[in-house]
Amino acid sequence: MSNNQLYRGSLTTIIMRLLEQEGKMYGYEITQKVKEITSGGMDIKEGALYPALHKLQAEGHLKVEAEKVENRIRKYYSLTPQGQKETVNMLAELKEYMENMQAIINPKLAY
Amino acid sequence: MKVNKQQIEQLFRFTRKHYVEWYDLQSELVDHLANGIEQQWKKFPSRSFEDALQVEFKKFGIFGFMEVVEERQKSLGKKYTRIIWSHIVGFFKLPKILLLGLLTALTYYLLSNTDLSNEYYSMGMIVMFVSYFIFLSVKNYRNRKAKQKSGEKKWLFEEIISQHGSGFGIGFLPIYLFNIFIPNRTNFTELHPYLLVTISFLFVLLCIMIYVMLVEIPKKAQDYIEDTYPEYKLVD
Repeated sequence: MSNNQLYRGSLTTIIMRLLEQEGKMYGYEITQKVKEITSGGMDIKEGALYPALHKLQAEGHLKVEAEKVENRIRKYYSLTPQGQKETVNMLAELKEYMENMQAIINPKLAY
Repeated sequence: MKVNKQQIEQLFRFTRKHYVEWYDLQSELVDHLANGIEQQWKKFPSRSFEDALQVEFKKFGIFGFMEVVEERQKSLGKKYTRIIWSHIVGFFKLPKILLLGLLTALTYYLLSNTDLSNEYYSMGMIVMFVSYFIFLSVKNYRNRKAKQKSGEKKWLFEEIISQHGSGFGIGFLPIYLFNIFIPNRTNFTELHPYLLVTISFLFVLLCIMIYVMLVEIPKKAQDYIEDTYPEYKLVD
């Protein structure tokens, strides 16, 4: 992810939103998907992605499946029912935050 | 172009060289690096495996795999603590709660009828936990050596279970509590019965916690490990 603090704080929301849309994904796929959606504007740092995934898994928001792909093991992450609920909350919070920021940056003039 | 079997082995060695000891983390990182390298080869087919690996590793930042390892240890440590609590909670339900009550009553009875100075108690506890610590260290050292020798795969959560997490420090807690509660008394029989009941209960709770860490969880270790690592069964 670009060094921007703004993005760093949203990593969890980004991961959960992607998993909500895509079902199951593996770590590398997540980094590529973010790059693709944002046309390269956002680059998730691997050093931050895996800690976030493992934390979400330990908190019970994500579950993991493993598959043997070619000559290696691949771990797929997906949302648990608890994680799905949490995603809805997180997105609502993010939306509210964005609206507030919008109001601050672009205040409507009151007469 | 795909990463071949020898190169996968090379990637495993690379993660080990960068202080990732556990197979669960190694395998995830190896898959990630391999994907990255294959992606690079699509754009730059002539790039060597080593060069592509370095490019991919740099993306992990200046601390390399350290952050990944630390966070994994932290989150699995928390999971272990949750498992301990879920076992302890089991002692507050029937029928185990009867045992909890009985042991508390027995401890209370022994303490209130024994003319025992609290210094003996503290000394006893210290001896008990120092021996436990020595026992644990020796056991872990032997296990580690044996695994290194046999080349067996190491799983982080398995290691946390066998080392009893960081629960060891909690063992000293009652000694501090003891000093806070009764700084100027020398004998249990002089204590208020309510206080003595509390002390007995906490002591029993502590013993239960140690029992859970030493006996109950290791007995179910295989289930917990398989639950944590879906890949556990895929590995030969």
